[in-house]
Amino acid sequence: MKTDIKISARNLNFYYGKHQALFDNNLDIYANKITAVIGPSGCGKSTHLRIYNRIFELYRNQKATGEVLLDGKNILSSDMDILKLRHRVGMIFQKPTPFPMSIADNVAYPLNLHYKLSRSEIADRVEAALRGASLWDEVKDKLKASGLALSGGQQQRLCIARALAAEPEVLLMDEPTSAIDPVATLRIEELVMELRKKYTIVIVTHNMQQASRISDRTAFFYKGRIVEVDETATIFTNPRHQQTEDYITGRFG
Amino acid sequence: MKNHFENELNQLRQLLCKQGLVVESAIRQAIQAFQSGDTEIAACVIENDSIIDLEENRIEVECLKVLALYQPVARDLRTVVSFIKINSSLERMADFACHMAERAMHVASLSLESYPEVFDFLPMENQVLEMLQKTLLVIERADESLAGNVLLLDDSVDAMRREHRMHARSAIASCPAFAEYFIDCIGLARDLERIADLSIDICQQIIYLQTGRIVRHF
Repeated sequence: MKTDIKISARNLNFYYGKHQALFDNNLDIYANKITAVIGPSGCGKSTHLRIYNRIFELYRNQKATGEVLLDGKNILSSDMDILKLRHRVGMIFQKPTPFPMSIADNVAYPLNLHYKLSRSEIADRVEAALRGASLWDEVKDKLKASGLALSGGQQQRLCIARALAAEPEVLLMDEPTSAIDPVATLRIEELVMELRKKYTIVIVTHNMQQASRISDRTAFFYKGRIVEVDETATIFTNPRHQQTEDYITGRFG
Repeated sequence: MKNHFENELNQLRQLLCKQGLVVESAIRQAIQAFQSGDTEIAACVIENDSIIDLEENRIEVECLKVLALYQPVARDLRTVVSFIKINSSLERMADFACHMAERAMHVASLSLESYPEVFDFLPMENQVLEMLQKTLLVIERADESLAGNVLLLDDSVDAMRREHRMHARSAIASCPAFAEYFIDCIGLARDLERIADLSIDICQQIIYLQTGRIVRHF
């Protein structure tokens, strides 16, 4: 069966000033699959993820070399429209980041940014996004309430709804459940697995069980290099590399 | 945390090794009972089987506990899963020891005055016991190369069983009065061969544990 490759990182290197953080990363992200990125703290997994929508460019002295092909087109090239790129590649962060505005306005924010829509169209899209993020039933009666008043798990789902409203193709998730409780974590994991049908998902996680529960493929990073990438079931039953084995069995890291 | 987990694995391995020794002893006693016609030994094997059954359950519960509490992956996961399967294989071996003991009781109940000297089980018994002993070492040391050696012994046991069956067929034809005894002999050869098969299963499981390669059915 042919698997479509949505993103392909090729000979990707990354520098924080003079410090090189990633070394010759080569990684294919399959379309409509969940790819988990695991590895010890400081191994470069978040750094790698942050290249996919060029969010690192918000900071000075950070530089990526090599290629990241999104549907075959290099997103690192200078003619790439950053706004369009971030429209296509959404991101969810470790801590929920609702904007200090109402729940409805949070979700409508990217709609106003990217589209010219009527009020009723916006209301429809907000509802669809909140439903997509499994939050609608909990907030439908308080759409005007502040997004900041929601619980941590709800805030994170609000952020997912906001990302979905822009109708991205890829969702990047950087430890999206590390700041929320186990029950809310399971809800988000269920949601992520549902979202796979429509989106390509890359998730950075420190939680090994989370990677094994929800992902189709897993990439193991160590000291800025990709040691091993394979089907998740293979990585967690019979990894090829000793370093992977030692990390996932808790013998180092 | 890792030390705790490794202690748990070591304890599980020790439980399996102990169970293996008890099973080996049951098999030796069953063979002896069949050879000597000693029904007391045979009864003892049958009676002790329930102890082995209970121990199997206990080991399984311990394995499940380790799976649930530590959620092992990779080699650690293969180890616990292999222990569960080995545990079950050992218990099945003990069941075949019981079958042999029951056959010994049955032969004794036939009250035959003399036995036709057509069967020499000794080479087969020795071969099966050798495989079993090596298998117990394989479990203790997780020794995949020794496991590979045991796999090579299987064909000769199969051949001996076929030989005994052919022998029994012609013996039944020539001495029909001893038919029931010969049928028990066929059964004994089958039990021994099944014990050898279970040794093979265990050795294949250890190879899987060590390498992640499933070598069954190849």
